Amino acid sequence: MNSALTIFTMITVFCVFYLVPQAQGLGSLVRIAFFHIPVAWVSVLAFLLSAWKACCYLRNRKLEDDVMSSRSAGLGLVFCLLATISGAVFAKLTWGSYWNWDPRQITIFILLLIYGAYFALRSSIGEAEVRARLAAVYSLFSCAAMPFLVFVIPRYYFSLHPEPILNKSGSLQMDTTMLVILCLALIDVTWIFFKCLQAGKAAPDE
Amino acid sequence: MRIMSSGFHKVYLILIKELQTEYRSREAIGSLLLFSLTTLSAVSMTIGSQVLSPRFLAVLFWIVLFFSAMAGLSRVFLQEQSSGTIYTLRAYGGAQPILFGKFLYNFVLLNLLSLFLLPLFLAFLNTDVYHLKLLLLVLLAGNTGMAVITTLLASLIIQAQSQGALFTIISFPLLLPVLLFCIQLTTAAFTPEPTAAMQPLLFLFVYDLVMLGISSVLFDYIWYD
Repeated sequence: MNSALTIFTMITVFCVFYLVPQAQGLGSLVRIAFFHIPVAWVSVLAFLLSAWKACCYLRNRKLEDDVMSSRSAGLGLVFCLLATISGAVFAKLTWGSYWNWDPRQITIFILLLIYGAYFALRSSIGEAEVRARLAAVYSLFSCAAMPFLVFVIPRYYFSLHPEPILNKSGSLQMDTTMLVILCLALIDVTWIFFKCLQAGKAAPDE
Repeated sequence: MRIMSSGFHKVYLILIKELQTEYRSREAIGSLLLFSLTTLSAVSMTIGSQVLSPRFLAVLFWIVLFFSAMAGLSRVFLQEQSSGTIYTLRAYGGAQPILFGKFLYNFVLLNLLSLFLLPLFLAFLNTDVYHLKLLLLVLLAGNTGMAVITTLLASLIIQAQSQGALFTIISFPLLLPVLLFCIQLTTAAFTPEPTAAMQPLLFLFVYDLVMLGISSVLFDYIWYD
């Protein structure tokens, strides 16, 4: 499995660097998007998975669910940081500044804060069961706030961020080659995420 | 005291108990009001007689209110823990009446704080309010949201260490939507042009309701372990 993932990753990287055409107005900078979009997608996926595992924990009270929830949140934090940094670099190169409180930046910043608060809460509680329970509650509570952060706040601020891939009219504004390679990149990064998650499960570090 | 009583009556009893405890010590309300007075005077003194834009004023107002709230609202469960009464409360009270009673208490405290802070703010910073009704509605919605979120999170931190700092850290991300909307709406209330700010206000109320619902679901897991 590991070698398959390595080969797949190499193919994806090759495609991103050699097959993606130059985008109109962006040139080679468009290649950052092939890193940024999958990473941002995974950070949201990790957040949802963490909340789901938290829900499982509250129902069944099995500590392995809590371990998965916190592993997922930990990986989510890493991917969220990568998405923030790659997004900021892209913003600097195209719009001239690393950070301008664009709605998307507000959302991802709040997501980072939530992850940070989650781990601050975990590290300040000694007992494993209590920690698992309270962390699960916080995870679900912040998950309920997520739709507002993602869908409501961006409506009220002017944004430079490109429309998400599937925009409101449902049409795809992308070259076919790009779209296929983007899908490859999405699958690849999601695969890497689950691989890391499984590796953590085999040797729980808590 | 009647043992068999309805849910609403229990909520009422918890609220009355909180208010009586508070009346005896006047600790929470004192720290809230003094904290807000300190921050407000610091801001006002340093700004002097400069004329600020409505947006700037709204930001200052909500920052003062937010950090004052952080100073006083975590006490709602911590004080039960430190005085050792939490076990009695656990033995007699169900989760839901306690959550709603404490929420109402925090809500009352926040409204008192706003009533204290708002006139002083308007006087000190020479602010004109053009849409008073909107401003009061925003305060109501913002206070509801802050009270809901801080009540649940205050119950999370009673078993943690370094409670004061942790409380602010875990509250901030969830209060940020409330804060952003409140600042936007307050800016509208401070500007002379007529506004059509119904939609953000609606979102604010919806956010409050969602948070209230989810706290009610999750509080059972905190209270009964």
